[in-house]
Amino acid sequence: MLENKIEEQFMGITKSELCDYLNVLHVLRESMVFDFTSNNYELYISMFKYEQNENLMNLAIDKYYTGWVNSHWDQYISQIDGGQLNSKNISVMVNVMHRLIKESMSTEVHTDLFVYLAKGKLRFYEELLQIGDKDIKRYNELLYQYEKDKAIFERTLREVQQ
Amino acid sequence: MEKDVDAKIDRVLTKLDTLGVDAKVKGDIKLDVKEILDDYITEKIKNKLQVLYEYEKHYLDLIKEYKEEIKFASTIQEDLRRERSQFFSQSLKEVSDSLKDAQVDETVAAKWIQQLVGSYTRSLDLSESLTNTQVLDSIGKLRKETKKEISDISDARE
Repeated sequence: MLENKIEEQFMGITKSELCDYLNVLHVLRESMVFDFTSNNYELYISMFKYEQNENLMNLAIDKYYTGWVNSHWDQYISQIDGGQLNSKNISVMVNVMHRLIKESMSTEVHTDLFVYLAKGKLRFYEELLQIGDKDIKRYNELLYQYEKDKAIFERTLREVQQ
Repeated sequence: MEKDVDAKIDRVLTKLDTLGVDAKVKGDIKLDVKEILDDYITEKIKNKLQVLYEYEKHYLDLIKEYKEEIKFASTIQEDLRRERSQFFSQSLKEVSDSLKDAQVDETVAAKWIQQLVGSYTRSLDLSESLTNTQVLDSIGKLRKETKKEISDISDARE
């Protein structure tokens, strides 16, 4: 039933809305490649810093992926600057992030922390998709997810290193 | 076809023989019946052709209306295919070269590249899924409108 609900989120979107969503995904793909080719400081630091510790390296990879998924929301918000945010377009973006996480969990091996955070995130996204426009205020929680996840990963990295 | 109609009329008219109707009257009746039938059949075919013509006309109008939508979606699909191919043929090599130039350990580099490929292809798959939904949505609307047109035209002719 939830799967049908999720599929429904992609139906009935206009050409211009589709372009917005596709652009978000495209920008984030480009930015990911750019992080590698431009020797992004934070990314390369973790490649060297945790070279000898597989657990820490896996945490760093999961931290990067989680941040990348969260950035889709920030990118969308900055793109529609001044545009009307409604339950329909929020649902599509939540659905996009839901899929990025769920499909990653079913095809790749992740750290326990990622799995824990991802499960909570998926539950939250699914609640949002089911609530619809009854409680639009809860969407605000999406705004601070990037910083929250980043802080949790950094805290864990520090604890594991000690 | 005409011979069949003639034979059928003749068969009906033989029933008049029992009433003693003469051959000339029978001939006149046959001509009248044929004329009535011709008019009826011509009118019937004309109506059907008119329905067909109107349906084709409306269908073409609908196709024209949705042509732009379908063209738009197929351009996006083409762009996504090109991007996927470019990622594997070019971008991935650039990433690998950057990691080598920075002297990142090979095992570490392989792990990060694996993560990059997974995320990138997942994002492309999702973009295709969004675009395909848009195409299916447009085709669904086209079908619905076509069905409605057929039903409206048929209703109007009845």
